[in-house]
Amino acid sequence: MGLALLGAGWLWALPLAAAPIALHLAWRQRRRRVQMPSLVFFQRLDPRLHARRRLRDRLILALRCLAILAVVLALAQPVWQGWGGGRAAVAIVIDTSASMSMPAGPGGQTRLQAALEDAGALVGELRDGDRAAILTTVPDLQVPVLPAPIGDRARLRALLDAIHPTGGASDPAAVVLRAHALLASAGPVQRTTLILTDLQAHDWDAAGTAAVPVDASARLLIARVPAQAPASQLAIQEILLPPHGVVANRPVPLRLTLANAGPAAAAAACTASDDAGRSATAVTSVPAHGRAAMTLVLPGASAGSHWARVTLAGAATEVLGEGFTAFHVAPARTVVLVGDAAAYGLLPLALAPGGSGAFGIALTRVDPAGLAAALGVDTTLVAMTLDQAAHGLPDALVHWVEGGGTLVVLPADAAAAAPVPALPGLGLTTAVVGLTPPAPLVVLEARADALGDCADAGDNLFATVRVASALTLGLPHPGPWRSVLGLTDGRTLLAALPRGAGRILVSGLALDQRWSSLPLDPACVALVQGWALPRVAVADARAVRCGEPVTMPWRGPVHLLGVAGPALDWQGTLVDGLLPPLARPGVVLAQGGGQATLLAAAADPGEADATIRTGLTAPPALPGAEVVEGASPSAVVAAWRRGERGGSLVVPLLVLAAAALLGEGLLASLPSVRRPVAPARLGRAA
Amino acid sequence: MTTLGATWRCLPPHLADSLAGITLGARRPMGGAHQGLHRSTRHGASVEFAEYRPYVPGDPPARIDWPAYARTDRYLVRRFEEETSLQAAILLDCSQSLAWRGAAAAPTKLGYACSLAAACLFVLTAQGDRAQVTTFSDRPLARLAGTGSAPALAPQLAALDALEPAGAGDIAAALLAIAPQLPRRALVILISDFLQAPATVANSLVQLTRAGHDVRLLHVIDRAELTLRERGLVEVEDLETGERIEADLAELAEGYAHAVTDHLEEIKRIAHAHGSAYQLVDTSTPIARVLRSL
Repeated sequence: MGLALLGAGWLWALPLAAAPIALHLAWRQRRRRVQMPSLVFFQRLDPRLHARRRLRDRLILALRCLAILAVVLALAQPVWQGWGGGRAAVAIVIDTSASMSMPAGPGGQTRLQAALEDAGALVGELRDGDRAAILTTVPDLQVPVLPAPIGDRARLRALLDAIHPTGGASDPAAVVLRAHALLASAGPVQRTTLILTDLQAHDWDAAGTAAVPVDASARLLIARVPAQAPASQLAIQEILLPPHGVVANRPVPLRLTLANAGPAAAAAACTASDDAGRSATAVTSVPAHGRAAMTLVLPGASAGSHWARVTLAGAATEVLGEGFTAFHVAPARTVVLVGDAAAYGLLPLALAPGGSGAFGIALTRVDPAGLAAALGVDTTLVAMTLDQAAHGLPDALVHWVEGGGTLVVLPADAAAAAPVPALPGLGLTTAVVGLTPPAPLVVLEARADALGDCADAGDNLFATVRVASALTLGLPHPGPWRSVLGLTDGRTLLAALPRGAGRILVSGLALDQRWSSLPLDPACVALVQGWALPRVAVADARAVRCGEPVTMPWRGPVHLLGVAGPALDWQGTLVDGLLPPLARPGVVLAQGGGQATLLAAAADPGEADATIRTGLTAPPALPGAEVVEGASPSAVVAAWRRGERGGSLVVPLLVLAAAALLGEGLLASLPSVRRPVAPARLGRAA
Repeated sequence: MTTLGATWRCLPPHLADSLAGITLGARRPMGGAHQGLHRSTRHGASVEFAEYRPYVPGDPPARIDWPAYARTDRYLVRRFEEETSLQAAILLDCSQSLAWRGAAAAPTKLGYACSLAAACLFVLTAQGDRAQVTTFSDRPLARLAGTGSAPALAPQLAALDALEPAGAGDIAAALLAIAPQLPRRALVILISDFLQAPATVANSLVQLTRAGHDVRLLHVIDRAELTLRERGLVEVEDLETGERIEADLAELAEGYAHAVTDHLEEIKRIAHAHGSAYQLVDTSTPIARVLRSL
């Protein structure tokens, strides 16, 4: 046990306790002296008059000195520390969420640095027999988890040195439960969970968080570290890859969503760079309390796995301004043109504007007889004319379509539309139309899969295209055919038929400007390339959020290896199929169960919100917590010490001072001599 | 009236003049060896009428010459040849407590006591008696032997003038040493402020009365010491012992007055209990009045 003085500066006033004595001595020097012939009459009154008065005066002096001493000590705020020989166990919880990378004050120190400084001071205050544990609010594989509190201060300081900013958000309730479980192993000592945090509202006022039950056996103390609003509240919210996948040599568009939690619009400059060192930069403005989308296009990469890093200049924190994504670059897609390429008009040029193989699409022309042999693994599109289809579709082609391929059938390029024999294999009929003046081409099914990337354009797609000559398609109704494009009167010009895993597209328009202005429309390239690049899920890279556990499809051992971003090489075992959370943005390869999965961890954009919980009321998740201002390490240590069992001695000292003053007043009011005795009772000894 | 021929502070001329006609007589038969005004313990040695003398209190009323009263309208007593002289011992307390005075203009109790002693000495000597003055505190200090004539009192009066208070008082101890030196059956006039325990006074009186002395107590006080006129918390110093105590005089005033009254009553009672005459005199009382009442 020990005594600590929280206001030791008041000790200078201790000599004031001697003031009554000094005043008494000074007054005694100036006291009037009266000479009497004898003191016999005074002694007759009370033989112990002088002794009794002297005792009373000394008691009064002592009480006055005691009152002053008690008041001065009360001002020094003594606290009685600890019990049981000073043994205490404290779980020091460091908030390592992304917001802790924001500034603590004008000096440049971050909030996390301030928290670590407080924790270091507290570790230094541990006495013999005290034990402590270090936890972080965001699980971090770089920070070992202690199985129980320890008293080794060097080891505790080493743990603090291992703590670095993360991109995750805090889960206060979860970490407090972990802390309580850890402290429970400490035995019957004074237990405290001390959380050093900026009390960001995003983490501490999260809706739907269940409150941690109050544990009467452990004290829960939250120390709010100094927090200064950052200059920017920008963060990378999301990085999306093209839905149809990425193919070799084809530009990689990265669609970014940026978030601004600040009260004013902010300019955002983003840079994307891939593992090959290729980069792209763009600038946009993000509205206040809003989001903005932008696209960074990386140059085409070779086939294989790649990753890209996106940095946001001027983000709220470094971790919030960094994002990663991983993607697999498929080999270039092959498009097979059956028959004469010239019959397809501008289709070959639209598919491969830079030549065969450019932009990830390679063109191959085959005779109908060699079609089956040309259907390779990388073949994604087969184009044939309506005339060729009228003879029926080869079984190999149908089988290929059902396996996931796309067959597009379109009129042979000619000066104008010409009747086409029936298509019994497809169940369609055709009719020649000539439109004067040319009629608009409209989208009949806005979200049709056949529109590919153009599906997002809505009604503006092909708004300027005019059709002069076409073959309208008669679709069986009811039936699986879908009208994708057509005329304003509803006649179909492009129909789609799902077949197995693939699809058959029948177009009544040849890609010839004599038929329509479609080949001249920029969207035509996106449309036809979309036929060759169907939507595929990038299955080998998963987007995960920093700090959140990841569910894996296997059990057992796992090896985490950092691919991009912070270095990581960790081996462990999955618990309930959950992978330990990744603390910082980056790309990690998770290997286990015979599988390898790329994980792209992104920071929690909500951490960019600089709103802080103010006041000293306990947050909803921790209703039993005591909130204090952790303005400095000494303040945090004092707050911890103040709560140790024993408590403050201020009130008892004030009560003592009041009692001393009351006693002094009572004594001073008492007469110094007993009431005169009646003459008859005096001794009359002769 | 006998004149002294000089001026003494303890017996200024106006005081000496005021003592004219005052006599001090014994209340009991004296054993003086000389002819005097007082009844002798011896009877029948001579009954020859010698002269008339004025009646003094203490004389038996039977000795009043009524025919002479009828003629002169004065109380006269026949003086016979065998009336003896008075031996008087004046015991003067010189302890430090008598150095106190209540006001700057007032005489100290010792000064007044010296005047009392000088007056007694003068009166006794003038009436033909022998008197001696012995000063004491807690022991005998000086003995001023008596003379038979007033003009020869100069040394005694000078000694009284030069008297300084000294020491603490202890009447019983002093009288224990003085008593053996006193004449037989003398008139003992004890002048003191009696600021001691009454038991001590009683012990001293026992020594004197057992020896057959005619003891007269003159209790000298200063009116200012009867009550506490000061107020407030003061340091009270004992003049005799130097002892100091702190006292709130306002608190003690009533009790002090009671204590003084009790003490004076006690001394008086003790004196009467031992057959001694007692007179309380304060320093403002004219000396002549005191002697007339003695």
